[in-house]
Amino acid sequence: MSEIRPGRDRGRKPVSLTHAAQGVVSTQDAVWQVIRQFPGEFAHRDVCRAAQGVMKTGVNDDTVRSYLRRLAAGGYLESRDQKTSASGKPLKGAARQRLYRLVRDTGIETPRLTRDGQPVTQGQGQESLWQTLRILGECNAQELAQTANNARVAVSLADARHYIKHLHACGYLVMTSRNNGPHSMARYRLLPSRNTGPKAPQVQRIKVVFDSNTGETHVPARHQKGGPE
Amino acid sequence: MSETNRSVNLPSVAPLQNVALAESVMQQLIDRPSHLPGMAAFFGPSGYGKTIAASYVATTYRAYYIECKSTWTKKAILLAILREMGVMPATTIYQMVEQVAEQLVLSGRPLLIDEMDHIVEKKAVELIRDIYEASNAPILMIGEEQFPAKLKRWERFHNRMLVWQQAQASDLDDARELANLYVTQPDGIELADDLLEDVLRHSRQAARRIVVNLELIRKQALRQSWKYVDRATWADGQLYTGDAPARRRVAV
Repeated sequence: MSEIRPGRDRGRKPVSLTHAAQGVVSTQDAVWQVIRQFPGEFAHRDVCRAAQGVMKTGVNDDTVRSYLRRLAAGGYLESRDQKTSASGKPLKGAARQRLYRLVRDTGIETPRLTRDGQPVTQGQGQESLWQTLRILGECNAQELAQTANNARVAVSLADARHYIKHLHACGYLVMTSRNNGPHSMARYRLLPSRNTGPKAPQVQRIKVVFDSNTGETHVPARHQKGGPE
Repeated sequence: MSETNRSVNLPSVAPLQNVALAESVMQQLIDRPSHLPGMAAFFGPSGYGKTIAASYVATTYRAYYIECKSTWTKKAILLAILREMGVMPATTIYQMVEQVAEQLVLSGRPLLIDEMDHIVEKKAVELIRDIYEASNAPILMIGEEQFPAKLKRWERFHNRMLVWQQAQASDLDDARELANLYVTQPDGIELADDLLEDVLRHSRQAARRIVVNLELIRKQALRQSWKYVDRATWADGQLYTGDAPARRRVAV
């Protein structure tokens, strides 16, 4: 099997190859974690240093800077330029830096924000589907879609079918009754052992399921080595 | 799955009476002035669609949702809530209460507790009150019919409730909506109101039994290639009542 080299030629890194998969928080999570703990103002440099401590690896300065910008745009941080040093001496040139202060702490959940500070909407549909699956326990695609679809998130029958199909292939759901014919729908039940937590398992582009609750990637049974064909 | 794509006609449980009621209770909790109490109860007999309503409300408002089990202790409840929040639990119960309350305050997300009956019988009720007192967050509790009576014992709890909302028995509008969701939309079979009235009566207005009956009718309609079913078409067809079978008598 050829090695997959993330981040070079293929745009965004697949989530299963990021830090989340290794049981370590992502840079963004680490940044959010550390800025919640700063007592007062902090600079980009402080964040980088503290985040490195959390992640136990180097962090990319630009990743941190871009996330700080997004947080500021979203009203989570206030910022100002530092004009004088702590002792009151005026600062010039590169010694000047931007100071941030956390003004809106929304708890443990890392805000996912776009460049202009709006909440990221990607993944909301699967979040709604996953939560509904966990609450209903057993359902078919139709029931799942109509319960998960609400005023906040639009979920179609096709979305529900897609999600169920891949969760079933990767062993999250068991089929309790088969689809036998054009006017019936298979029913599925969520396995209690696979009720792994609040974060929705993500169906990746190559149709494997990444579970960010556990950091595991689940491959469909038919693709596993030595598994049944 | 985009937020803005509302032009497509997507199936939704939103028009069902109990879903709308639960949603309005949650909305009242969220919109209340801060000096008013912030807990509410939504209760009713089993099979009335409370859990469907809970699911809809939980995803709409991104509530933290837990479903209580009969074996749960205070600690189990707190661990379940913290797990939903993704917070690493502290070691003692009072620290965990603080953790839960803090996360509720900061995130601004409501808490939804299903099958609340199970923990009313234990001292755990006081725990929910502690969480409420420390966070002032909206808390919606869902339970069976006897739930308010059971809560009476806990006076301090009782007067912190903003709304007591009883789940309603299904009416003809609900039956129409369910028929639309389960029969008309998937298979294009229309059901007449007179048949739906029979269904309502036999189901004793419980949504779960209505769905069972609609499924019976749907299957028979597909077998007979009916496109429109009314009382006359259904004729002597049996409907499900949920009663246990009576003793068989030997014919004389």
